[in-house]
Amino acid sequence: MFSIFRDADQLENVEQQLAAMLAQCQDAYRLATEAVFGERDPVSAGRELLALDQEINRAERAVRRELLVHGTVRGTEVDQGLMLTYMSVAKDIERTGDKCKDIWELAEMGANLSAGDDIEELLKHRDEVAQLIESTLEAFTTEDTPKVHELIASIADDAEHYDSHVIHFVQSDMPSRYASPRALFYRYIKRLSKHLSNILSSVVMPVDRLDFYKKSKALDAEDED
Amino acid sequence: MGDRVKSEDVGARRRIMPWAETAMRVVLALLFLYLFLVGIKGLETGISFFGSEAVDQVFVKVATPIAGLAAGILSTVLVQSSSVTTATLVGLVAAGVLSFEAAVPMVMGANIGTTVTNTLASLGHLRQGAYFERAFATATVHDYFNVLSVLVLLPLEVAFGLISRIALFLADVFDGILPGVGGGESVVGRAISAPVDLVTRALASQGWEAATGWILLVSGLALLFVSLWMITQNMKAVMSGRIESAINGILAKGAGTGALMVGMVVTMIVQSSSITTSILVPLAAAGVLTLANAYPVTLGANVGTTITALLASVATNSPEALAVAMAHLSFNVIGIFIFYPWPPLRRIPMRLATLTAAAAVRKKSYVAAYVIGVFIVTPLVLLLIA
Repeated sequence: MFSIFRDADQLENVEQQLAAMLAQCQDAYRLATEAVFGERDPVSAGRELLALDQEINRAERAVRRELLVHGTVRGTEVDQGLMLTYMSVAKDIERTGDKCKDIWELAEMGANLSAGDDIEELLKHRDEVAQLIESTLEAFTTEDTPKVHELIASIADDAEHYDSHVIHFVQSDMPSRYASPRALFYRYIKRLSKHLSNILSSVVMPVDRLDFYKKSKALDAEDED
Repeated sequence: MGDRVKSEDVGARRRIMPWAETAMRVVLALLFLYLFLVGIKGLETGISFFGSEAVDQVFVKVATPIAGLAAGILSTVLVQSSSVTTATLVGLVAAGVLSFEAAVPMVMGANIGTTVTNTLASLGHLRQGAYFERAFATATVHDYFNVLSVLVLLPLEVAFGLISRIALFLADVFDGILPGVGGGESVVGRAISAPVDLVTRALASQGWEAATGWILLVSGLALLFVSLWMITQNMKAVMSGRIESAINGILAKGAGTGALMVGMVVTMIVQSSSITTSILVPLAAAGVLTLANAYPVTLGANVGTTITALLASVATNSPEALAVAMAHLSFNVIGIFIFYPWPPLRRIPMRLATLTAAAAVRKKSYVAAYVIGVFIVTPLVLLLIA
């Protein structure tokens, strides 16, 4: 019974939980894209993905509770900026998981992105995003500031590129069965990347400017230190 | 660097410093525990300098159980710490100013009075109705448990001496086992008495015999107050990580005996039930801690806080003083046996707290009426009547 009184740094615990949630997002994204590219049965992929999504949601609630307990017990000693940052990061990770679910739902609705001439480009973007989740996890946990700036800049460029695809498919005369899933896929990976950008911004941006990344602002903050 | 990096600096301090800071704080807590015991001894010795007339006056003021109960509530509301009240009672009984029988209702009153702290803490959530309702229910469940326990146990004490008999029996069992108590010239007893004897002799050598009683009384009370506060602050800082773990455990696993034990152990370590119960209020307000989960923690805190009087009795060499501490313990343990194991009885304090909180949300003036009524007007009226 007294093992409940184990010594632990609760904020480190929260940091580990956030990293674990992001790692679960990696798995969720893999399952979702395997389903939508026809590499895996959407039903079985969905079963695993929904279980992962529930775990991510549970972890988000646990992070919120632990931050609240931390703030209550520590009182004025609390690093309030860090607590607010972690709340924001937890929400963005949870939204990343939601976007994976949205991608999987395309497969559930009958979409198969592998059937088309643009398969090479779609696969390239799929892998880009998979790599981005991994790089985000690494940069977030190691707080690698130069890497974070680099990744955020690259996400901004990619987002513009994904938007151009969305516009292309929305305005095209292609059959909706072909164009709609592609427009939605590009829209979802753009939103997913933006959530990753928000997570990364927590490493370099002040609390009030989280999710509103501007490199000059981040550098200003560094100079002020 | 951004805020996250600044925060990391704090994190680095957390990782590098703990062992040195913990060691320093534990040493400080032990030092203040010693000073706390010296304070009790000073209080006891100081009082012994007053004549029998002063002693009689105290007896007259709390001659009836109702007057004692009211005095216990009011004095604890005033100092916002049942530990200070019960430790002082231990000193008074040891000095012979107060009889053990008269101290028992005062101990019960101290239990009620101490709940004012978390009730006041809940007022911080007045802005948002749902938050306040949950916070106020969690705070007042402590009030209701203590009031109901007094309503059941005080008549039994008056009629049959229930608490007194148990406390005297326990004191008899532990007499001589605890260092200092009944042990005459034990090492602990000598270490505690030495500074008080030194001050007494110094004052006598200066020809200040007349003022000795007052000086020892006031400095003893001050020492008691300051050292308890310092013990609480240091132990809370040392134990924060573990307290967080324990509360996260309750949130994950729910209520039960484990939660009761958490409340008890945390309170024993930080020497303040108010710290424990006040931590519950914001968690309940935010909705992450249910009233059913908070209730056993509160009961555990009630038991945990009795450690202070037990420690105080170590300084006194008086079995009767130990009996006061045992009365505090017995009252709380019996209260738990009445209002926790059997669900229909367990639900009574929780139901009353829920109804009170609902009424308080509907009309904010009820909040002021409740706080002033329970903690000031009622004990004052009881004191006047008695």
